[in-house]
Amino acid sequence: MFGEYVISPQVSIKAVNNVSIELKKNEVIGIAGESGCGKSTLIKILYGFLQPPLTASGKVLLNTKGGLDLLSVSEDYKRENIWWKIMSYIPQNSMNVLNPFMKIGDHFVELLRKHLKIEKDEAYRVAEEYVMSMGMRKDVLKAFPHQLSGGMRQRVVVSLALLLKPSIIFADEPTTAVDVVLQKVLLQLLTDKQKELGATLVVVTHDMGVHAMITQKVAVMYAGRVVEEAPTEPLFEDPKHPYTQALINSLPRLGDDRPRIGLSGSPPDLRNPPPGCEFHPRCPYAMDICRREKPLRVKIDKDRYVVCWLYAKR
Amino acid sequence: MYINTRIRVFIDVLKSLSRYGRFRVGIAIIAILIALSLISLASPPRYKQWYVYPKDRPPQLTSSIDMILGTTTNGRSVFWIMVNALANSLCIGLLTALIGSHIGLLIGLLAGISRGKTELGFILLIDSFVVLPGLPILIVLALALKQSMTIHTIPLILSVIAWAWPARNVRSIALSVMSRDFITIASFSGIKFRSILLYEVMPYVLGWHLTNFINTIIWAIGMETALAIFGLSILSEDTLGTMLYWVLNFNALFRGLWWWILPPIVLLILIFIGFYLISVSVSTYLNPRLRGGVA
Repeated sequence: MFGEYVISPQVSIKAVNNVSIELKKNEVIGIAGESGCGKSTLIKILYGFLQPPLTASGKVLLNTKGGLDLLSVSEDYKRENIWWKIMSYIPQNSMNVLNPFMKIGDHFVELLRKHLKIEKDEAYRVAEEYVMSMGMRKDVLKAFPHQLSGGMRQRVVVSLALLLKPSIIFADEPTTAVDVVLQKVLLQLLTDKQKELGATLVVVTHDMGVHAMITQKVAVMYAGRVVEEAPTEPLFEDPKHPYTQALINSLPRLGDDRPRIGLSGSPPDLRNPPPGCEFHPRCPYAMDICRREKPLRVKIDKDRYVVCWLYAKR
Repeated sequence: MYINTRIRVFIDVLKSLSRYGRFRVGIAIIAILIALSLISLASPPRYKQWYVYPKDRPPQLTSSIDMILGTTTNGRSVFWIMVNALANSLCIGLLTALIGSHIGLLIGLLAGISRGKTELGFILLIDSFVVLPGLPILIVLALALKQSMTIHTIPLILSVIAWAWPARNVRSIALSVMSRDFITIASFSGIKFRSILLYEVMPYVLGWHLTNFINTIIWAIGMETALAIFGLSILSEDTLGTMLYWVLNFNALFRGLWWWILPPIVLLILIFIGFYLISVSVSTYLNPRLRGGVA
């Protein structure tokens, strides 16, 4: 699929470029990459949430609805039948996404009334039971967001996202701006619930540690393209693409006191990306062909793909 | 049933508001002023006539309420003029706030949610009214419409200017709220735009709207006074402004007729203080973060 921010007829940013990704049931998939590589845009497109200036082309097919294309159905249909019921979304810095003017209970009641079409009192009872089942006291419902701690707020946000038992959960940088203790608690909660619901969890983060901890499959993005896609363990043991190698080599390891060598340069300007492979200006193995032609997707192993001229047999 | 719960909610809000000292003082001042203005209903028709009482009578406590504040140079009872002026001024302020600030709310919201050319149009409209100097325009309008002015049409003239600041205010609040994370999440969770506007944006905007409303009352009373001092209000009716106009016209200041000068000035100050205190405590109450304690 393709995603493009059309800022004016002259300027547009191709934030997602020729990406194809498959989400399987009961799987945790990670999307990795540095800031500005199109991770969040990819999630928005997968979610089917297109608002100007974002436009998208391609297809997002949903199997549970018999191969429905999310990009072609109307927004009203998505609102009624798909968003929050089948797919839900945990936003970036989820501590601050609750409406400060509404009590926590009203957040739950609003969603329940909207999606289950039930009365206010009944919705409140359902919310109470649900909150207890998520391991929180039901007093939480009576509180305003600012009266809760950051950790509690995140738990509330995760609970809100899982309220209608969705089968696909998108988590957009769920652990940024959170200390490591809370990170672990949050990821544990997420993966537990994912297993319980048998849902697909898509985790977007630049934190390779999080990927190593919870994901089963990782897609590495660079400048709007997926450059490598692999099961987590082989990816960390033997990264193929030079960019993935750099990412993983930047992780500190126990007992290893060599200085970390970072990549020089910065990600390309997506308004006019470099010709050929987008990564070539920073790639230590750049060849002639990298500057001229876009690399092809090469299958290395089962479920392992890499987009790099180094592995293309010609 | 429904109305009962509404009333109970209203009483609860009043109860929690009354925990603020500022609100109690403000509401007490305004209550006294309203009570005073209600006395105007009992005013004898003859208070409007000149030379009913002896001229320049200093204040004195007599058996009748007529003379409690003495008389004017024209032999009118200052007390009856004062209560009528207060009633009329409050009426002007309230009507202007009802018309002007609601136009402001509507236009501000529309400007806040529209995009592209419509937004530019709204901004142009609002901003041109914001930068227009209010008093000269009102003077011109008042001059032109002097023949047809009554207590009930002055608010219409004042509203021509009064809506712009509230609209600017509401637009900026709406814009800032619409860009918050929780609005994005609300639309992600499948809630319709209309409901988002009603349930997520409105609570923010309404708090500001209430403050705007009260500020518009203050502004309108002040503006009417300013117009009256120039002699551009309805001089045959009594408002706090026209009272001041006649005070100045008959040189009460230099003749030491303090019982004629002080009532309008004290009342104006009390109106401003009272409404200001209410406005401040209401805006504190509407923000749950500032409200404090268990809500």
